[in-house]
Amino acid sequence: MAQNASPQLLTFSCAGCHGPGGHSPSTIPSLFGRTADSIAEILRAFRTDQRPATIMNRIAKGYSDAEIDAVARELATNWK
Amino acid sequence: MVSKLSRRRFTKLAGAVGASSAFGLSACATMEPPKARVVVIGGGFGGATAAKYVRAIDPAIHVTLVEPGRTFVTCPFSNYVLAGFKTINDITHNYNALAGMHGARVVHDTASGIDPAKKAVTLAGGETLQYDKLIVAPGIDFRWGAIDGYTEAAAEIMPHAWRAGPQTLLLRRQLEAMADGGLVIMSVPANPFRCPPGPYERAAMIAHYLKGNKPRSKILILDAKDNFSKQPLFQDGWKAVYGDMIEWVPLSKDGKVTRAIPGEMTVVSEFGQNHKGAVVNVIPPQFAGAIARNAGLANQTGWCPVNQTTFESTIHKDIHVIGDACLAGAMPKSGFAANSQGKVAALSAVNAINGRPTAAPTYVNTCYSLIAPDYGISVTDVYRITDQGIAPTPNAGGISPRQADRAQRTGEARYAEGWYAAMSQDIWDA
Ligand SMILES: Cc1cc2nc3c(=O)[nH]c(=O)nc-3n(C[C@H](O)[C@H](O)[C@H](O)COP(=O)(O)OP(=O)(O)OC[C@H]3O[C@@H](n4cnc5c(N)ncnc54)[C@H](O)[C@@H]3O)c2cc1C
Ligand code: HEC
Repeated sequence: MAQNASPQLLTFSCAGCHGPGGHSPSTIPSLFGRTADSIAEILRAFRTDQRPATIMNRIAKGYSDAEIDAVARELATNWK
Repeated sequence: MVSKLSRRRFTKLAGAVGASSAFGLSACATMEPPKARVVVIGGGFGGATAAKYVRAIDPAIHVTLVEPGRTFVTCPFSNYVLAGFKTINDITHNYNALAGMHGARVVHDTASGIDPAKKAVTLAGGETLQYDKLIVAPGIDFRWGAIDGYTEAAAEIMPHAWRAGPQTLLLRRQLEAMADGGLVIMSVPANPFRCPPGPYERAAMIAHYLKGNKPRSKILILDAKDNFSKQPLFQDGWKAVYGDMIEWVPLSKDGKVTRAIPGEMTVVSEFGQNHKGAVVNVIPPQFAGAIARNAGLANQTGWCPVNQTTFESTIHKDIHVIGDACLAGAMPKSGFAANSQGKVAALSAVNAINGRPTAAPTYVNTCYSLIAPDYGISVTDVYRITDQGIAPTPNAGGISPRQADRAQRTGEARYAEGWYAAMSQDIWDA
């Protein structure tokens, strides 16, 4: 497995669909104001196809366990 | 004020380092000399992202964005203008947020030269800009004449509409003027080119318009390659929604167009077949925007080689090249990819300025396409650095499932809208 990605760059990846700061202007759910645990739990459910999705299941499979924890922590801290 | 709130949210998002000036005046508005100067050439998907993110990550850095246009019309969603359910207005953005709340200096001019030794950019208007780091994002230029007879003048008769704006509207007017039963021809280039699924989405969107208005018409796609992005999903979708309206001719069936005769609305294939259309859309072969090539940033391919971790040019130091103009391994030439690269280049430039180590990169791309307004498909990948350069993460990403219920397709169409709105905010609108 390649090196784990920078947590800051991981969150930058989410903004392109979920909006800057996780404030979505349209149909994709907003991500601001969540706890790290809930984000990580949802991402793991997407990764194992336990949660219905059109695209997040394909995206979540691209991240390691450590990256999921890191992006969840970073989002919970910065996307209020 | 909304702007102040958004600015604060955004600064938090980016994890700003120089918090002191985050809510105050931009570096350029104060008397203090800036910590460093970053110049960005091009205010499209890559460049406008990079300019905004440099300011957000470290507001003590002075950023100048050079872009000739006062507004920017996106290629994404321009196929829906052709289809008739979006307007040019819907896909037009400006630089007010970037120049206002994000405190970048936006200069509406064209960069005419780069001097890597003197670290200076000259503008057509006469100004010279000194930089510590330069980010170059000029997008594509067309290789006029690569298809014999397809010149800039020919594009006024057989539009490419591969840069959005007047060309999009020209093609739309031609479709409107065409009689029922007319033949629309599309000529599609070999890889690499801007937006690999774009031509096939365009065929569907033109078909959507024709089905409702000129149902006896046909679309003929002449392709210089034998397979294309999301091919099974497109072919299933075309058939399901438009029956036999769209015909695709691959390279191996003499699909490559080598000559255009605008006066006769005819294109000629490699082995000499003439195809005459009522409307002819020629998407010509491409290379990196002129400013990048003229500055010696491109190699023999016509595209710019870059370090895959930082997007710094492997030819000239302290110059990053991002977006369609660069060679980014397996990443497609898409707006989403340019946005992703813009963020990596911004952080890399800021880290270098601040003497910090390079961050381990991660890239993402998603290309949504519509078969019909309520029928969406996508391809997505999370990219990493491997021994082969930037490559998709194994066992992840990929295209929408081929066997899927309507909910998947309508859902993806709705999320395509959501993506466009979020991406526009991430780059220009907020
Ligand atoms: C029909 C179509 C549909 C598409 N759909 C999608 C989609 O759904 N999703 C997606 O992700 N991508 C899509 N794309 C691809 C996307 O448009 C491009 O990949 C993207 O625009 C590339 O960004 P860029 O920053 O490299 O170039 P651009 O966005 O083209 O920006 C380049 C900018 O540089 C400026 N410039 C050029 N030269 C100079 C100079 N010398 N000085 C100053 N400024 C200069 C130009 O004025 C321009 O504003 C589509 C493309 C097409 C044609
Ligand atoms: C291509 C666009 C796209 C990108 C990039 C993206 N998402 Fe999503 N996300 C979606 C969509 C669309 C949904 C709705 C579920 C679905 O259909 O897949 C969603 C749903 C979610 C949800 C569930 C929200 C809810 O309340 O149901 C979470 C959490 C989430 N994404 C986190 C992330 C994180 C973290 C990242 C960055 C690593 C990210 N997403 C990147 C499009 C995206």
